[in-house]
Amino acid sequence: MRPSIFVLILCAISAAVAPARAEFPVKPIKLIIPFGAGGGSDGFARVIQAAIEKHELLPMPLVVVNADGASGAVGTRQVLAANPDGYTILQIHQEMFAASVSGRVEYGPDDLEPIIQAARSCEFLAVHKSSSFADLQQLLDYAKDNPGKLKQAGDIGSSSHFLSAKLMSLSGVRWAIVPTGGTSKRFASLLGGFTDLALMSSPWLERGKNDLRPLAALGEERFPEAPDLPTATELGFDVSGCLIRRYWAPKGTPREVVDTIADAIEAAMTTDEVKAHLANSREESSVLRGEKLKEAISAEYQEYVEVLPLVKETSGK
Amino acid sequence: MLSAYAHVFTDGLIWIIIGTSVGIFIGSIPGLSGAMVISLALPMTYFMSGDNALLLMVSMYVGATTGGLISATLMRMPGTEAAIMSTLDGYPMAARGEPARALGLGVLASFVGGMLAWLVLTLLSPQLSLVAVRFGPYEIFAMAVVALTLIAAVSRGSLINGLLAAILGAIVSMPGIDPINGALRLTFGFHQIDNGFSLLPVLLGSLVLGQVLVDCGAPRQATAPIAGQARAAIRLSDMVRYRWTFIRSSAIGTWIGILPGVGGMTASIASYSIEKAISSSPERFGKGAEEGILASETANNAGTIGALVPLITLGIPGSVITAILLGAMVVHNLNPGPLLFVENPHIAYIIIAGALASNIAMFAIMWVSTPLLGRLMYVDKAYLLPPIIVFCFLGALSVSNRLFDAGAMLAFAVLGYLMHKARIPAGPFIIAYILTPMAETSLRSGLVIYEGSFLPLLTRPVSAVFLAIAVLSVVYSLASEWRAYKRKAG
Repeated sequence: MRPSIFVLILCAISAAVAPARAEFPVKPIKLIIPFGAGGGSDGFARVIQAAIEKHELLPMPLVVVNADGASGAVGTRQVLAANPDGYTILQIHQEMFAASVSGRVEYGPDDLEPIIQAARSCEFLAVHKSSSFADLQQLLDYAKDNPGKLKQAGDIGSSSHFLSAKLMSLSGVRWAIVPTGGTSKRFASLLGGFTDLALMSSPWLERGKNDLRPLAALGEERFPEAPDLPTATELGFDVSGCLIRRYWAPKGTPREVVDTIADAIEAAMTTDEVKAHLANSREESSVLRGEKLKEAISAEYQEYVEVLPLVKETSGK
Repeated sequence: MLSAYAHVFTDGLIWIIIGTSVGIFIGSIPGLSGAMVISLALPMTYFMSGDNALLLMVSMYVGATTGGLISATLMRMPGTEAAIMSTLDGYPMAARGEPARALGLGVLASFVGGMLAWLVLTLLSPQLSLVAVRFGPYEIFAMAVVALTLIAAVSRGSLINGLLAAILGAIVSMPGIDPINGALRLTFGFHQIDNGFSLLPVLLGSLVLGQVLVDCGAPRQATAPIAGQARAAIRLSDMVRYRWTFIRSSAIGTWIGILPGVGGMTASIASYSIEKAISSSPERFGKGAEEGILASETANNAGTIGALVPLITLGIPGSVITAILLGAMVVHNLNPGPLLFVENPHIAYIIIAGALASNIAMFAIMWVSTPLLGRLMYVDKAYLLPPIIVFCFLGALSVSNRLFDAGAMLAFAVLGYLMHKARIPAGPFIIAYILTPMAETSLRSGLVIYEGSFLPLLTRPVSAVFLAIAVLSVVYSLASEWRAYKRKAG
């Protein structure tokens, strides 16, 4: 009896003391993906995980855990509740801002510690090939002259809805948002003739080239694969719409720990594996850290706050 | 095309066999789902060629749908949601001493449904997918209404109890994020139900653990096996005898499978209910009718393969699993989408040939194992129930990586048990739980598209026909209920 108690106590002491002294990380890091397996977030996270492991960028592996539900809120809550020791981190895009600004959740980006921004996937605005709208201005003119007639396939309350609202606010016209779901469902809705326009993700430039007519790129620059497609900014609407993949830790995670993880992810971004994945999924590297990242986040969040009234106005009753 | 088939039946064959066997095994265990194992397999396939990765995943997908019938038949616990309708007649037939025969019918039906749907996939994919996208929100709504009214047909004899179960199911499906205004509803401030109650906790609780509780209370004694039935479990003569059931159920299953977002579960509900409605002896249904097993299993496998049609022709995944398959294609840089057939026909044919090969492999594996599996019916439940409970917990925890779903599952287990005691059927409960959100979302999307007008429901021919069927179905069940009541009274 006595020796085993002794061993137990020893273990307890070493467990309590060791992490403080040892270099972070001494055990695997849980990376929570608040979306389902097989999606864009999941695919990106798994490539980062594989690159970190293959190139030994961290002494311990990342473990990807899918915690899908409530547009990312279920997984985000798990990170908010975790110890701020760097062993539980989150990868999420602006869906968090959308949930926070619209009041579905009581937390916001300030309740987490941003680690690093890694990549982004920019969208474009498209209509069906058979549509009579040849450019963005024609579409907006139609919406102005025919209130309530123009319909966009989208997701109510999601980050793409905020993006649409931003475009509405800049152009001064309104249209209806029909809840259809993700990009492939939007594509089906355009194809079926039920809706007039949709925001599509960059892979659909190639995939949908026989069926879709892109009207505006929503990145800051033109898509390399569609050099003739003007950006919305060039057309006079200062809006940029990219899903930005960022990593977050619970508030209060030590600076050195955040830096260690950020270094590893930044190094992973330069590996051939990650580069190949970005090329396959038509995403681009967009690394941002430290104060610059915090500024980018708060500016973006502010934009979400500003267009919230329009999002509410174009949500169903 | 030929090179794709050649690959599948040579180098790819090993992945087909592994995938199909794993799929059947996982599918047969309540708690483990095809989606779970395929999402676990996805990162492993990073190291395989794109062809083999897709073959492995497609065959897991086909195997898992079939595997669900094993536990549905032998234990009245659906291994996958698509097998729920198979419990209705599969279990009674197994319990009366014909477990191998009940399994054999299910296996044959799965095979025939898969093959007929495969023919459609091969010959008509591009055309059908273009028809499917014309199926808009109001059409889907009207179809869901028909399926909901068919609940009455499934719960005949106690229409009130069936409706009560359906209302309960609808209520359980309501909490969460409102699909149309994006706000939370009916969560009462509990963030744990921000996402509502997920399918796995509801299904595993009410249908599987609820059944475990029932079994613990009153151990079921299956009738001893009828001699010789194991040897003739799969009779090819059934293919001729029930040819119309096969053709009807495959057509229904394939079509519903092609519609994005409507799965094998809906396919088997529709097929079973229609089979019962047109049968000359509907009273046999629910008591071990051959056509009941065949209708459900033909349709769910046809739906499984049918769901590959929009995936390969348009890049539109209709279910969780096909969405993961699409993700796998992106990972392997196979650029899925409407141009797959044009730019990368090899991959499209790999999927089509893989579906064929895994359907054949499934039939071979099940042919050999059916007599053995039939004996499971006579294994003491004390050995079978504990692992099932463990797997149910694993399943619930896998949903969102949290304990809440396990707690919800236990609550639904108690509900399932109480419903059993009160003779409230579980089928309508789960059917309404699945169909209500589909009906609601499509109706409200339709209202946005048609600017608040319900009229297109009646002016669009497809939805009008469906709604007429729904009205007829309600009138028919009320009338027969009334006749039954008069007979009893008089």
